[in-house]
Amino acid sequence: MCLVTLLAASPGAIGGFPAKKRMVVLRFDGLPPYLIDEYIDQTDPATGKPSLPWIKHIFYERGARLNRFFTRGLSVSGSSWTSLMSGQDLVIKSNVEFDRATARVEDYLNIVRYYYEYTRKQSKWESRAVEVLDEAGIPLAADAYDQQQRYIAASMFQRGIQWGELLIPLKAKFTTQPRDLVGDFLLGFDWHEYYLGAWERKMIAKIEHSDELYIDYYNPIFDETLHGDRSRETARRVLKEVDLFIGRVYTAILRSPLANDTVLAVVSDHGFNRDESKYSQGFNLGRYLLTKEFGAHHLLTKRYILSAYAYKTTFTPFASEATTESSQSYYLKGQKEYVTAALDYDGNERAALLLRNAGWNRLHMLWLALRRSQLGPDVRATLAAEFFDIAEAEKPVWREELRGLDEEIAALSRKAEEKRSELNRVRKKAPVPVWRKLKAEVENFELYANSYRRYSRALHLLLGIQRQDFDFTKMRIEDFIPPHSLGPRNSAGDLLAYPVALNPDGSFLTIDYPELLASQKVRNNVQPGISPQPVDFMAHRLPYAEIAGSLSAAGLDTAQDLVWLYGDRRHQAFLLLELSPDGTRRLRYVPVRNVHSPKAGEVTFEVASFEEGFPLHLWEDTGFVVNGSWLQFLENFHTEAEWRQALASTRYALSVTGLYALLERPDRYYETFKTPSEDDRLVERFYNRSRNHTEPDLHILASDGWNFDVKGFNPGGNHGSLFQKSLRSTLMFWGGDHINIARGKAVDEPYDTLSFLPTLFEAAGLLNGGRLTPSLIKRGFRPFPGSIVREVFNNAPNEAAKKELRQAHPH
Amino acid sequence: MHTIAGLRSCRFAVPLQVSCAVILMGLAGMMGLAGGATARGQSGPTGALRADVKPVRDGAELITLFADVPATTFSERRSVPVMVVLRDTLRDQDPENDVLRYLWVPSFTRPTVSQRALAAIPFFYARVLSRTRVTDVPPPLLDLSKPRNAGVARISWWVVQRSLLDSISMPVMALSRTSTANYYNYKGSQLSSAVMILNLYRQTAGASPFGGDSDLSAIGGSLYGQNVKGAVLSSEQLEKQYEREFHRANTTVGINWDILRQRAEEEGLIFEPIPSLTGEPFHAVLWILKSELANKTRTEFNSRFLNIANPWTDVRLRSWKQYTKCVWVDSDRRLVAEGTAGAREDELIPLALYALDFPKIPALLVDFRDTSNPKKREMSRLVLNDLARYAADISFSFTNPGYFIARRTYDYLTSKKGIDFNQQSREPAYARLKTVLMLDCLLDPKFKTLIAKDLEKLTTDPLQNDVAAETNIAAAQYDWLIRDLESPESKTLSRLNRDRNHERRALVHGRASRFFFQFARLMSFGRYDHREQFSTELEHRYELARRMRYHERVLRLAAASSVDPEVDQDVEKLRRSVEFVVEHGATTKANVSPSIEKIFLRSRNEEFRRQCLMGLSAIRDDRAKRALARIASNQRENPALREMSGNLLVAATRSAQEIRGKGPAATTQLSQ
Repeated sequence: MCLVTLLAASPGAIGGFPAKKRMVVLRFDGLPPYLIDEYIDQTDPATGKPSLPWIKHIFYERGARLNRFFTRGLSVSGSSWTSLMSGQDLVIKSNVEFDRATARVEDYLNIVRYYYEYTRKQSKWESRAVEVLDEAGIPLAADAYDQQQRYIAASMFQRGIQWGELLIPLKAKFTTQPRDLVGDFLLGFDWHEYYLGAWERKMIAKIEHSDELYIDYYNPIFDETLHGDRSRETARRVLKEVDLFIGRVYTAILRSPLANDTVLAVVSDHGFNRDESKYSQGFNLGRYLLTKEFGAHHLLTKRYILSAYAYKTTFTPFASEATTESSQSYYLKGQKEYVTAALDYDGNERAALLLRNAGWNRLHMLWLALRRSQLGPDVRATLAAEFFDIAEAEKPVWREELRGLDEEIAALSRKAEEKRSELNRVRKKAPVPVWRKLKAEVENFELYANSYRRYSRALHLLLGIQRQDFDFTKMRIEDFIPPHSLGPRNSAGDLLAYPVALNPDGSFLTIDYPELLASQKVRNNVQPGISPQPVDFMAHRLPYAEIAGSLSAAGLDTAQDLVWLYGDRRHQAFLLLELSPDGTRRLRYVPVRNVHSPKAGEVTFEVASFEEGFPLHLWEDTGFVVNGSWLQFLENFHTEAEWRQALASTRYALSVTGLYALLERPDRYYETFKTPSEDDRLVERFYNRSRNHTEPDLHILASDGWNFDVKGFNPGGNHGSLFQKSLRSTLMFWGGDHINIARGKAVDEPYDTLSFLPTLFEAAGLLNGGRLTPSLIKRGFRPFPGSIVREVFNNAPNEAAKKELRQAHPH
Repeated sequence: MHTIAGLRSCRFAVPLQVSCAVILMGLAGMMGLAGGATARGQSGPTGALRADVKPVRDGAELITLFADVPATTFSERRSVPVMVVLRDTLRDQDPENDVLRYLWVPSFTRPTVSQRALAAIPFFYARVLSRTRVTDVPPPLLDLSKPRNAGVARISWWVVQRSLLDSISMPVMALSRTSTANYYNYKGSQLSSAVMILNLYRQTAGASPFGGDSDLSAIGGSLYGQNVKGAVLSSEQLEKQYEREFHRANTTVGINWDILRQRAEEEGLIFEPIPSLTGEPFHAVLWILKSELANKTRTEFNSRFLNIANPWTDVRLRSWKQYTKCVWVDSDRRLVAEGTAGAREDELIPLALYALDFPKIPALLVDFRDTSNPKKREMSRLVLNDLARYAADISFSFTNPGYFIARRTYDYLTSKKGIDFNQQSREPAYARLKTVLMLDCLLDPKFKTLIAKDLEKLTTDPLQNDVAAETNIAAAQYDWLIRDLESPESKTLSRLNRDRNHERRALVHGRASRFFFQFARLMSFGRYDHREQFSTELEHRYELARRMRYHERVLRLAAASSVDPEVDQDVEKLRRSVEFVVEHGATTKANVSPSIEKIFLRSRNEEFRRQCLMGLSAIRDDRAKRALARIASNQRENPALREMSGNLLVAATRSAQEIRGKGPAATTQLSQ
């Protein structure tokens, strides 16, 4: 009876066995389940066995798999892996993020740069993604174990580098057969074969012979190969390689002493949108942003964008950013230090656009005009009046931006000093990881403090602008509007009339960016089934304050920020959040049209009736399945679980919940982080601020068959969007005899990335009936928001596994 | 497969194009149902490319890949042979002793005397003659059973050139080098077409018509091994190279396709990909709308990437009298289907044709306004090479580090920046376009003729033949081959028997004797060719040796890819192969011990593992014995199997087999 109770409480573990369980997590970038499904039942004519014999053998016959497992938010690696491996919602929201205040570029996937920085300076310990998560107080799966209990292959989540492991590939290369070396010389070095192969050999040795309880391996081969190549043959070959790799890991597990206590998980961060009969078409958003029609911006990106003639941009792994100057700039010619737009194009079926603050643009243009000596006195007076009017109108925004910033900067400086003293104290005796981490913290605190001090100084100066005694000729504009800063985030009204130039009559030339992007249509659209319009829709978080009045008038007031989706002027939508007193979150989709901003800080709209053509196309999607009437469903608020059920089979899969998670501010992480001191609290508040500063003005989603990869287009296929093909990811489990994973189970219930880690921890016995154990709480883990996939567990005896283990260990 | 909506010729009725499109769409539909490997003696469709197997005398089969197309501009044939392979079956139905021998690309021919003479002239970068008649059996492009030969021949020729011909006089050096370079260039372009055909077949049909998917990779590997690499690299490395190139080619075509489309978009031009037989576009044409030209909608043009003159300011286009194409355009001047409401008729003028399968940039193959433009770009590399070669005598760059570094840097920069100057040779792209044109039935015949005409000005190799000549050559050579195989005096079958004889000789004579026989044959100009006396025993050994090669490959492939044969391999097939080794390993030379050892280590089936040990013990080489010793001393191994391995090793030692290395030590240890 007790045993039954125990089992019911903790489905992942079977009572009576020691708690020493091992996790082997195989992470594949972009492995889409639809492709596995396509090949799994095919027979390989050369062997007479299934085309993917190991995946079938392990997961389809002896394990459990999720048929509808989706990426939360965008289908890009940075955010998805972060969410998967932390079990928490989207703190990192893309592969690349830009800090508006300092224009600092966070390129989370650039492992080469991490290795470079680690080598170059002693103040580097963790990869940037890990630093950001640490700042949010979010541990990763590996943190459930001590350093010596875990093995992590090279990936975006690294706490230190073991040079011995880095040398493995080199050693493998030079100890190989001479003929192979000649072959490499003649045919070219195969990075995948050497590097991934070497990591694999190391991992297999760890599985077979060592006591590590957490083994994590990341394999990018699928994603990297298929971005360029759409062919079926290549997809089949790579899938076959993946299958054999899984087979090698599985047989190593079976040979190991911990075989019975091992849980093996195969997971991918997103799917892959590819079509053998079509090329994915590129739309060079980066180049367009340099043109007058698009505002002639000096553009900040993580890599150089594709120019007019180059086939691919130069790969600069050691650089973290690139600024492309617009030769057509209206008012900043030759001043590329004034970046006016930043573009994140990663994943490629989407892009995130950050534009410099519209108020800053206006002031900058007027200031430059007022410094011209040939202006007549009347014109000068008019322009000056306009300048001061704008400054007055913007001051509330700057005040809000500045609120508490100085005390946070002061706290950062004090923390830097505190850590420096600690570093000096422990440097002689502390192990390398400790003082490296301390040094990294000192450097980061100083970097934050210094860069934000410049921003704060500019805001103070801006707030100090007074009509009476302001002399344009004596002030330096770069003190007021600092270069390499994008300023406060733009409002919806700013985006609908974004100022890019000063007309001769003193008015501003403005661009309606949502409409400009939505109206793009190419002429050379030669593939049937692909829309000539590269942009599908755009998304922007509308702060509640901007739209409160209109929401109230429309009976939609929930006192929460909302997500605005822009298809075209007539087809837009809001995603509204309603928070119940008990904390339950409910979402609603409302079709709207004619969203506009009659005056600064105010947004109006018309509620539309449901019809075809609105963003996400819910109305016309036959996969949208609800109990009862569609209309009734759409006219009400629903929980995430209800939306998941309704949307899992639609073209845009879990778009409603994903979009809200993507655009929501991550404040709650920082609010719940328990801190011991006032300085820590202020630093924590600063982290929250800097996270919020990475929020783009517009998320631009590409139409099916299009991509925005401006550094070299991906004709083979892409991801990044909210399409079913891109969002649907792979998740499969297998467990040894003492792990209670169901055999041959296919789970049809839809889940998203938040469910991965709690389910894995439950299977490995790290959770107690879904609750965190004291050990995990001690290590900084907080309750997981995702639900455990209970369907993958059962309590039936594992005869198949027992038989297999008997075969593996006959003696 | 797709074409731009609304395209039709102003001057030609195009029912043929429509019917072609329908037929090809039908064929494309069949691709998914393609059966793959054809059974012995059977023919089966596999899509637009189909394999036909025809038995011939002396125990062989001719496997022909046909492109099924309606009559094209250059040929009336409905089934165009594009690749032919002779399979040596040894007169039986057992696939285990089959060997793939000669591979023909029917358009590959021996150059005429005049062509050879022109090809020997340095700095002569033109094709002026084509072969007009076929008077002999076509030469095979390569011998699949001797993958190393071409590489060895190339190295040998290089040695002769450097040590002998270069030292005679400058003219001899220049003539011989130019002649050789042009020949290899010509052969290389034909090999490139063969790779394209193989890739197309692979993408549409998937399975190999030659028996097993891996044979396609093996053939692909052999095609890549027709140079020095072929002499140095193993067949596995060459197969891997083929797979890598297959992926690289797909990626290159895709990127070029998109980059060219985007550039066309930015320059206000119209982009039209030309689908190949199976729909894959390897080439694309850029057009300009006549009405836009007349309205002078723009004047700016960035020629940096497209490498053609500004069409917006070109007076030649305003009075264009050559080929144009009628289209329908909407109010935004986008091409639409004929008769679309609100649309009007307009004309397109062709500007340029690009190869999409060219590394780094879409390579300009035809400039319809300036036919010398692509040729000048092609010659930029050749002139540089030839000047270095003949004027400065620094062709072998390794011996001149300064030149080597400078050249590499220059090559890197021009390649990286996508500058269409000093790029790789366009000859392979030229040959592939000829193949596409030969098989195309979608393009307007008049436009196709124009492309073919302008294309001929591109080639710099005097050995090349033009599209029409090549189409005729392909047809005539294939007929010649068939006639020859049916003839009692067949040259092809004589060659087959000669090659078989050479292989038998290897079973009877050692290396020294074989070298002597080969030397004698060389000295007698082929009059003396040592023939082995026929005997049933020798025939049996020969047959066993060929079967052993088959089983070697089966075991090698399984060892290379299997994790556990029970799960991922056809165990019965492996068992048969190991059984064969057990039975004949003692009498037939076999290089299978590493494969069997790997399979043994990965298998979990005890009975099969015992069989593997028997197989290792049957092989008479020290590697097999060392494998047994390793197994016998492996503490993690099943004790029963360790004991068996030890016993087999002791028995082998006692039977006085020669063991070197660690074997005896291990045996001695075990005996003690």
